[in-house]
Amino acid sequence: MRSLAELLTHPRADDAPVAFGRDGVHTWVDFTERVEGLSRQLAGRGAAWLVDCTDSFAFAVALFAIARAGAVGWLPPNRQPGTLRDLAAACDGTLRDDPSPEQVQPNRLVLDPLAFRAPASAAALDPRATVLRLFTSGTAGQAKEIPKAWCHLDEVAELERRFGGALAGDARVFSTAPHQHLYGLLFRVLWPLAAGRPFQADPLLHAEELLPRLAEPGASVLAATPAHLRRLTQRGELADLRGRLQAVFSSGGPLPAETAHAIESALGLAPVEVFGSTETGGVATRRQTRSGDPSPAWETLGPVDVRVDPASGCLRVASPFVSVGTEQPDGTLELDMGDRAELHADGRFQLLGRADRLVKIGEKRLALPDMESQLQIHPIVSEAALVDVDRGGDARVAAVLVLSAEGRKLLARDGRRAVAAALAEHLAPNWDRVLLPRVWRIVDSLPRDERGKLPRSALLAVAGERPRGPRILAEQRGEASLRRELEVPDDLAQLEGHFPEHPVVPGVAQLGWVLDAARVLLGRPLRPRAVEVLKFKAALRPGQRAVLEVRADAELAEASRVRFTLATSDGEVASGRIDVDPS
Amino acid sequence: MTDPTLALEIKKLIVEALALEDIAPEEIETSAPLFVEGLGLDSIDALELAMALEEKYGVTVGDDPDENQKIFFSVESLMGFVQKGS
Repeated sequence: MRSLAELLTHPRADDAPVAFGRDGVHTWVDFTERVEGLSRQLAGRGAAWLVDCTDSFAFAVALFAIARAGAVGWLPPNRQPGTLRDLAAACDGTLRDDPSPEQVQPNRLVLDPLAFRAPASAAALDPRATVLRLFTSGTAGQAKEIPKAWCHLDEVAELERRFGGALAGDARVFSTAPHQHLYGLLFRVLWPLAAGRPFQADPLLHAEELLPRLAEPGASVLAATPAHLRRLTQRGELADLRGRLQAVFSSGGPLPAETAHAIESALGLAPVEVFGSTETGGVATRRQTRSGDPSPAWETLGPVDVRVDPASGCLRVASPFVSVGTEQPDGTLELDMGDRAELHADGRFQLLGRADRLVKIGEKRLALPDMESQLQIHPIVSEAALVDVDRGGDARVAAVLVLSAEGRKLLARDGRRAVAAALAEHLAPNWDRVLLPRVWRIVDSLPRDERGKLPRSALLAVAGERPRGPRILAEQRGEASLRRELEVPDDLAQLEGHFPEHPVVPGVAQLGWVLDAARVLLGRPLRPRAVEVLKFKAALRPGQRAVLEVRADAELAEASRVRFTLATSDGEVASGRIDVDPS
Repeated sequence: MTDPTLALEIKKLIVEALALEDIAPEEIETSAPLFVEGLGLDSIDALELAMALEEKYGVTVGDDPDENQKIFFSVESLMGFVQKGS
């Protein structure tokens, strides 16, 4: 296979398929004439173009036209409006195939990459010139730019050498990986393009949408993310593809052994897991098989060199595909990936986990410190710490917050949900939705250890803490009363150890709910002096609904007694009176 | 399409399957968008919700992306999907 820089110099049959979508097949002549047409539009009109395409064929046309015009394509890490706006501002124009009306920069040059055609002419591209800029994490402001020249992307020739032999020459390549990230860029677009295998052009959002497409006659290849593969294996149809689906690749996060084994059972071939990064490209691959080592070592790809830094214990990678790093004597670059690893004598390695606080969720990369700083600049936040929690399936971000005085005011007035909503809105312009915190915990101080550090285990303990109060379904205020409709959560923390076979809400927990409601009613901190005429008449169980009413004996400011009743539809659960200091 | 029991059941399923905090099933509007605006669900939620619906109602998501977008638009559209499929 030739270098990608020579792709346009070696003509293929005009009708050779390049890509296929719902609207049919795109051929080689479609591709080359559109590249030529678009590159003439771009020539002399700018050096940097934002490539915002939903269709992978339009995306491929845009990339090669930009390279033909001697410019650089910027690939947005996500399509959040804030990200696109920031990147578009730094570019000379945008190449966008999506005609949707939300225009990022209406007064800027926006071109449809598929709108132009011209007779193709053979042209070699410069293999060492930067043609693409990828971005690695959340915000455009803080994201790291990763430049790529064709020579860095020529790793596709190595993929073809290693894996192409098992694939039919006309096998169609399907993918759920976004093409603007390196995995999708290599496996979904560039490798198929260089090898002459047609690739799927339209984006598929649900794993279910893939199955009927894969079931069409002919050989196929699938490059997907672990979450989508997991979903596919939960459907029975995968086994119908045996013999036709010739390879399955997984990248973007760890592939659960269970998923790998299910794919092997269904197809008779184990999926290939690819380990790499935007900076380094693909570094190594492995196959988890049912009969083999439960944690097989990673084998480097062709000319990739790895070593473990003795000081940090982290993997350092050097290869012609690394585009950011320290220059080595042979001219290649070397980069510390931030993954702790153990190197075997045969050159293979085991991964031991991330050294820093970079997490991957839904195949998106998030630097927790970036999001923490963004949270901390919000006026309602005094301190913020984030931790990734595994809630069975994909990880999610949990935020542990210390609120500022303003934040405490908001909390007292509108509740935790308002705090969470305000902060989610604050983060939303810059991060993909899947990265936004899903668990919000408000604490008086962060759980620091004696060295002032925040141990992950302590954050997890806070984030994992179960609800201590009831779910409030409705709340009505009277002049001197408050009525709350409650539901007892099944995972209420106070149920722990309280009669395992017959969980009931302890009376002291019910009193806590009463005090909370009384505090909200009176609008001031309570100083309870006594609880009088307290009666517990019936048990309250998880899942049950109840109505709590608190009523003050006088105008709220003067009130010193609050009567309460807690009742389910079966009757009264508890009642009594709390005596408090007047304000 | 207007079965309030089914609507509440699906709302509960959403809250439980996605472990949503700070929102009670009753607070989800039957006709409001679930994704992006509205509840603000994301692509991982879509996967998990599809799995939960399949488990509870035996309905499976089809292969048409436009159709899927319509199905997952709101509680109301999910109700139609569940009623038709089961």
